[in-house]
Amino acid sequence: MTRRTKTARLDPDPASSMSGRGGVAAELVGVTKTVNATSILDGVSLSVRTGEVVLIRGASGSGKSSALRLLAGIDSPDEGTVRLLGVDLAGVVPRARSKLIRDRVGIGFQDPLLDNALPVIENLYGLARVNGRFSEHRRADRERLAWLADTLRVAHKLHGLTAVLSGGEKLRLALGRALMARPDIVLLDEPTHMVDSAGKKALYESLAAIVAAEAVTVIVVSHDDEARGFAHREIIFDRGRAFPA
Amino acid sequence: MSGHFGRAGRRGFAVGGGYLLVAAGLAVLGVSGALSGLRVAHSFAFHPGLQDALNEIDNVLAVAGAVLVVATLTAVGLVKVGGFRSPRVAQVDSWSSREFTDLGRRRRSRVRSVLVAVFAGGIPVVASAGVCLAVLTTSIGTEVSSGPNRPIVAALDRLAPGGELVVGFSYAMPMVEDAVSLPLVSRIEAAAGARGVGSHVLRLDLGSLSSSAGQYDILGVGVSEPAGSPLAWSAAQGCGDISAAVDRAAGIPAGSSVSIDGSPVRVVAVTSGLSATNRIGVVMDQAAMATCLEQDPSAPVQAVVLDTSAAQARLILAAADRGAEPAVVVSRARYLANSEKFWTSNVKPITNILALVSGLVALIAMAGAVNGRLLRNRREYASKLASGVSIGVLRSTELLRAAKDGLVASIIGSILGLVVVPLTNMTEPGFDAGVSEKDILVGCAVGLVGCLGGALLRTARLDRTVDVAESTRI
Ligand SMILES: Nc1ncnc2c1ncn2[C@@H]1O[C@H](COP(=O)(O)OP(=O)(O)O)[C@@H](O)[C@H]1O
Ligand SMILES: [Mg+2]
Repeated sequence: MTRRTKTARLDPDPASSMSGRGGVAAELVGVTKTVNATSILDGVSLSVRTGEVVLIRGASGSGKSSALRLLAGIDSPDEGTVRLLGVDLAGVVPRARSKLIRDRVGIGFQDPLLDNALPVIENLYGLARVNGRFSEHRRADRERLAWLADTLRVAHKLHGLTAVLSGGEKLRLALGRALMARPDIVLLDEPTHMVDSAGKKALYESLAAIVAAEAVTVIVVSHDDEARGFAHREIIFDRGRAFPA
Repeated sequence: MSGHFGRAGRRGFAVGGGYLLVAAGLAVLGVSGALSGLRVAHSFAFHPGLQDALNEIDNVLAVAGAVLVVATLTAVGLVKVGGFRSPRVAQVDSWSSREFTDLGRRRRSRVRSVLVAVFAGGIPVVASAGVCLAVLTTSIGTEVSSGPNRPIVAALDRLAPGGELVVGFSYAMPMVEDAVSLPLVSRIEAAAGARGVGSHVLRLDLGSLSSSAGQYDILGVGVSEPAGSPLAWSAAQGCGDISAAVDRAAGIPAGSSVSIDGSPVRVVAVTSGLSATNRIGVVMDQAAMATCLEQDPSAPVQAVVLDTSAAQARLILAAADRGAEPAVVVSRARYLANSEKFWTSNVKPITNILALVSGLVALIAMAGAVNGRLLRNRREYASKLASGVSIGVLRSTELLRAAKDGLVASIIGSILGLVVVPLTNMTEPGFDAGVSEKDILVGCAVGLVGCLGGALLRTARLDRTVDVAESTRI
């Protein structure tokens, strides 16, 4: 069992290469998690290589979100190892986790969790901008903003209020926010949850276009059929365990 | 299932019965207590050191207010300017001016966009009230402390200027009982005139004035009016023909006829700054005052004011030959200090405590507001923390918001104070509370310490309030 130590700094694991296609981008090894005496994850191991697009499927309550949240460092496991971009998350201080996430990871929550009172455009760049990953003075950043807005089909709504967007638009906006800072890996939890079939198709098409252009590693939790053609590989969750499809 | 409902029902019945019992008890106690004048008090002995300390609070707060206003304005200004170059700073500035959750608001208003651009996008109502209260208590404290002595200061400044005074006895207090006889006054004036030194007579009289508007206690200030002055009076005119200037605090317009201590008086002018709290200042010729109000043309005066140095004044008094009559030279400052001791009620410690309390209330209220905002927006904060935003950035956001809120509260509270403080003057004739720069600075200290302190208190444990793992789950 690994323990979280306060003093350990961000220390890449030499066993896994951090860059280049084929290296391990994200990994769970023998992870267990128990909440209120109920086992949520029961010895989960999975590994995703750099550049891969992996779909995690499984019944509701099977532990998909819990596994993704461990990868994002939002929760920690009772046992086992979580490795993200070569970093053992149990071995770094919270500040180092924050830095790793803001510099290299995009996160899409099951709920879009947008800032509804802000204009659409600010939801798109705000997070990246406060993290020092977006500057309105950089032409490349402005162009990326326009390209993401275009690809995610929210360009015509950029200056409106976020609260009045449709459910599908909000989900695409949240996806754009996760991608704004050019992450090496994105972790998406049911990015199409509560959207109709056409909306799902639109979102996965947009995502496929972005992934094709940027070679970003993607782990997406979803039970949509629309997601299947888009992923390279599937992992099935069942009652807290993970199986290859 | 039925057990669940049965237990809840019985517990509800018992708790409800408890409520009813306490209500009945309070009703009985309240009525009997009110009738018997029940009062809870515990007396502690007066503590002079504590009073001195409390007396200084308004000064300390005023300095703190000045420092904080400048520092906060500078900080917010630097952030706005810095945002021009640093996108990160600009984003913190933008976040600090708005809620993340929309709270059901769907339209944007012009006023709000100005508020967002300049301040924190809203009006901190409780903090503004705290600032207003602090301005109010401080200015009232100043007035209640200095108001009683004001007419004496004004009389010496404007009606009988001079450096030194000749009075009957240097410690004679109250001053209205101080006395210099008229023959000695004449000799002093003659001796002063021989040396080319100006002199004034100061006569004080406590009386009462009745007009169609009502009855007032007055402080009559009598000086020798030069011939030709509208207030000048000579014995030949008689007590039916007296002119006076009445302080504006009485609200009596020039041209009115009033009666002072039974004599009819014409109000020919309205003056100001000559009223003490609860005593309207009235200026008239000192001879008219002696003859008609005091009903004794040879009544002694309270002081002779000499426009010269102390050494000269002593020479003049010696030359005037006071004989057996007690008379001494005191400095103007000494006279005012004695007068202050006699007149001034030192309520400043009390009003200072009130200013502190309003600051504390502002602090608690703002801490509550910050906490409320953190809870209201906890999912938005949590998603930012989960996405790699550091706690420090979010803490800065809240502190910046608090700084802007504190400035808004200071502005609004001070403006409210400017409106409310003069209204208190309607409650007491001669009460002349006004808002000084110092009162406003005390208010600003209360607003800024309240807002910044509240935010510091509540963001110290931001990561506890915003549970990232819990708040990002659906
Ligand atoms: N913090 C928690 N407290 C209590 N139960 C939890 C918690 N996190 C997850 N669970 C439970 O663990 C199970 C798996 O949850 P989750 O990973 O969200 O499933 P999925 O995303 O596959 O639908 C569910 O039964 C859920 O109720
Ligand atoms: Mg889930």
